[in-house]
Amino acid sequence: MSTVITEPTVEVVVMGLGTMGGLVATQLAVDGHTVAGIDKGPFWDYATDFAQTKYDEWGTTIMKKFDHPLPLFTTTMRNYSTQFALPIRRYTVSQFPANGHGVGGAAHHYSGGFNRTGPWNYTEASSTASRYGPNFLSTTVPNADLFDWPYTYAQMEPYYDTFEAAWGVSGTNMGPLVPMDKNFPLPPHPTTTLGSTFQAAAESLGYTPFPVVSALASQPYMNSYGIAVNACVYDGWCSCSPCYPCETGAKANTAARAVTAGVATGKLSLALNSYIFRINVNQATGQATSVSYYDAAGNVHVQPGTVIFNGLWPFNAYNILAKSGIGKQYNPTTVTGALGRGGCNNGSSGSGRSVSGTLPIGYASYQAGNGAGGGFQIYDFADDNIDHTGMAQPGIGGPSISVGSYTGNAPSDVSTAVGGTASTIGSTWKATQKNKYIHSSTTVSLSGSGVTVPTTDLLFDLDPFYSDYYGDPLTRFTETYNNNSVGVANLITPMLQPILTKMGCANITLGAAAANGNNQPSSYSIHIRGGGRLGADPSYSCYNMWHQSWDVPNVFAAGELQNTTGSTVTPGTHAIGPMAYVAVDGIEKYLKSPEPLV
Amino acid sequence: MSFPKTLVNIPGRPSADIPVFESRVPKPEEVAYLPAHLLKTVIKLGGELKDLGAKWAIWGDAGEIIKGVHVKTDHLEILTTKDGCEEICKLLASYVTLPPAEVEKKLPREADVDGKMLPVLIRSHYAELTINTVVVQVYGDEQIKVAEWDWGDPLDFTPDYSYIVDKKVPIVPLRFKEELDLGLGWIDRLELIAAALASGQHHLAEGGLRH
Repeated sequence: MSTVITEPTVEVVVMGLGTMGGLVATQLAVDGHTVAGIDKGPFWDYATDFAQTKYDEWGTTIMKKFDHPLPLFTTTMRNYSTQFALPIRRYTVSQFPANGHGVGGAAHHYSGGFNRTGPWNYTEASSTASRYGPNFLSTTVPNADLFDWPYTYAQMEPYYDTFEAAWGVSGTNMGPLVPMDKNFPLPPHPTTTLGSTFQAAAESLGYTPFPVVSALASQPYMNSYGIAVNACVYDGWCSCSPCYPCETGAKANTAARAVTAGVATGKLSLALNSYIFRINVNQATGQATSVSYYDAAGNVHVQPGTVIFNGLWPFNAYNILAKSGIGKQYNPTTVTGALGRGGCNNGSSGSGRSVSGTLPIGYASYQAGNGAGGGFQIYDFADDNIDHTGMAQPGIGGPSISVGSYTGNAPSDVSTAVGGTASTIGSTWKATQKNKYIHSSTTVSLSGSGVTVPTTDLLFDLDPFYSDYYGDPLTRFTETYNNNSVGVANLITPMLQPILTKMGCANITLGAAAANGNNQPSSYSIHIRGGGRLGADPSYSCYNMWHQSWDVPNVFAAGELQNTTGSTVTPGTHAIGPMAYVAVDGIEKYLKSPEPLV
Repeated sequence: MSFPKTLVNIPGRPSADIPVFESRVPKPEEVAYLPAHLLKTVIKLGGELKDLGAKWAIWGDAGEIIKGVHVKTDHLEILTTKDGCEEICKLLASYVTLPPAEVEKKLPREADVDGKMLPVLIRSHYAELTINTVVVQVYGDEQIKVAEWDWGDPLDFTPDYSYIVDKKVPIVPLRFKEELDLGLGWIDRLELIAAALASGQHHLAEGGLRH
C-alpha cells in the first residue's frame, strides 16, 4: 500500500530538469523564489558518473544505459488516424533516438549542434503570405496548419544572449542573415581540413560561411551562473546518434551549467527518480494547486505550488496536460481544440534531394573530435533567403548547409560498423569498413529541403490501448509527411552543385528529383514540435507569449512542444533555450500579479 | 552514482527493467561557483585591464574557482608585477582603497615541511581596490618565505585564459598553484586542484570501467 506524502508548499513547482526545467528552476531560485524541481531520473555528475563508464560502446550506444528507460513509458505512433498505433519498445539507431533521463535531460547525449532560429521562422505564415500571396503554400499543402509565433526574433534576441551566456556557446556568429548584436561567448572549435575547404569554396562563390555553432565549450569557461566549465578534449565518444554523455562537462546541459547554482541558493529542492503523473487543478477556481508524482518506491507525493512549470519533453509535456484535463483536446475532423494540435517532426520532412561528390582528403576527415565543431556553415539558402517565386511546385523554407564538422564517434563505432550480412561480408565489405575508419576519401553530400509544415491531420492524443508502467495512457502520435519539401529540394539542390565543384570534389552526382508522397515516417525525430503551441489566439494555441496557459493561468511551459513551426535548423535546444527565460519573466510577472498576462 | 542498478519494484505492479540510479546531489555548501557579485567584478576587471601592459592574472581562491576547484572565497586577488600593480591602480584610480606600497605579512596558514609546522611570510608591492563592495587585493612581484629561509624569487607565471561570460580573462594556472601548494605541504589544497584537473581530462587511458 503506497503512502501519500504532502511536500512543503513552494512558489514554483518545476516539472522536469532538462534544458527547460533546469534553466527555469535555476533562474527562479537565483532570483530568490522557492522552487521544487521534480525529475524522473537522477542527478548526473559528469566527473563521477561518466568518466569511468561511458566508454562502453554497446551499453551506451545500443542499450542507452544513461537514457530514458522505455519500460517506464514510451509512445505509440502511426501515420494516419485510420491506423492502429503501436508502442515503441526499444531504441534503434536512427529510427528511435534516445530520450533524456535525469537532470540535464537529453542534452547529455546530443551532439551539441547549435543554431539560432532565424528571423523568418518566427513569421513563416505571414511572411510567406506577404511575399508570395495568400495561396502560395496551399497549392502544395492544402491542410497546412501554420501560424506565426507570438513574438519576433528581435524580441527574442536578448533572451538568446542570456541563454548563450549560461550555456557557453562556441562560434563567432551566424553571418549577416541572422543578425546578432554580439558574437557567441566562446570562440569556434578548430577547423577541420574539410571545413576550411568548404569555407574557401563558399566564399569564392559569394556566400557567407561561418564556423559551425556548438554547445560544446571550445575553451575553459565560466558561465553567467558562476559555474566553471572545462574545455572539450576532442576525444570522440560525443555525438548524438550513439548518445554519449560528456565526461568533462564541456557539453552543455543543465546538470553541468545551471542546477547546482540553483541548489547553492538553498531555494531549490530536488525530487529525483520521481515520476510525475498529474497536475492537480481546482475546478472551482480554475487554478492548478499541486503536482502529483510517484517516487521509486511507489509512494505518492503531492507537491503544492503557486505556479506549475511544465518543462517535460514534448510527448510527456502533452501527456501530463491531457491526463490532467488542462486544455481542449484537438479534433482533426472538426479542426477544433488546441491541445495536441500542430505536432510535427523537425529536420525531417519526407522528400529531399541531394548532390554528392568525393574528396580524397584521407586522414583529414575526422571520425573523432567532438559532436559539433570544426565545420563551416552557410545560411544563404536557408529560410526564405532564396526567392521562391515561380517554383514549379510551391514550398517554403530552405536548408542550412554545413560541411566538415567532426563526427564525434568512438573508435570502434558500433553504429557505423553495420551493413554486412552473411552473404555480403567479404573483401568488398571489409574494404568499405576500412574506409570508415581509415579514410582514403570522404563523401560530401549537400541536400536541399524545406521546413516541416504542420498540417491539420497531425496530432497528439492519449492512446486508448497502451499504458505506462503505472497504468496511465501513453501519448499517441499521428504523423504524416507532406509535400512542402519537394519543390524546395528541386529548386535549391541544383544550386549547391557548384560548391562541390569548387571544393574539388570528384564523381559529383545530382540525385533524382524529389517526388510527392514517396515516403512516410517510420520513426520520429528527437525534435518533435507542436502539440501545445504558443500563439496569439487560444483557438489554435495552448500558451500565450509569456508561455502561460490560456486555460489554467498559473501553469506555464517551455520547450519544443510550444514551437509553432518547423524551422530550417535542426537543433532544437538552441531554438528553445531562450524560451526558458521568457517563461521565467512570465512566471515572475504572474507571481507579482496573478492573472492572465495577455 | 551507484552501479549496478536497482530496479523499480512496486508492490502490486509487475516488475520491470527500470533502473533507479542513486543520485548524489551536492548540498548547497558543496557547490563550487563564483558568487554573482564576484563574477561581475571579474568581468569588469577583464574588460578594464584588457590592454594592461604588464602581466597580470586572477589568482587566489577566485582563480581556482574559475578553474573548477571546489573552494570558496569572498574577495578577489590579482597577481602581477610591481609595475603592473602601479598601472592597475592608475587605471582604476577611483576604486583604490589602499594605495600601492611594500607590504610584508604572515599568512594565516603555516607550511607543513616534513610534519613540521613553519610560518609562511609573503612580501609584495600591494594595493587594494574596492569595486562594488568587492575587495580586490593586488599583489605585485610577490615573494614567499618559509620561516627563516631565504625569500623566493618574485612569482612569475604564464597565464592561462578562461572566458568569463563575455570576457577573456587571464588566470594563474592551476599547475603553478599546485607547485606552490606542494612546496608548502598543503596536501588538502593539492588534492582539490588534482580533482579539478582530472575532471577536465579524458579517462579511457585509466582503463574505463564497463558496466
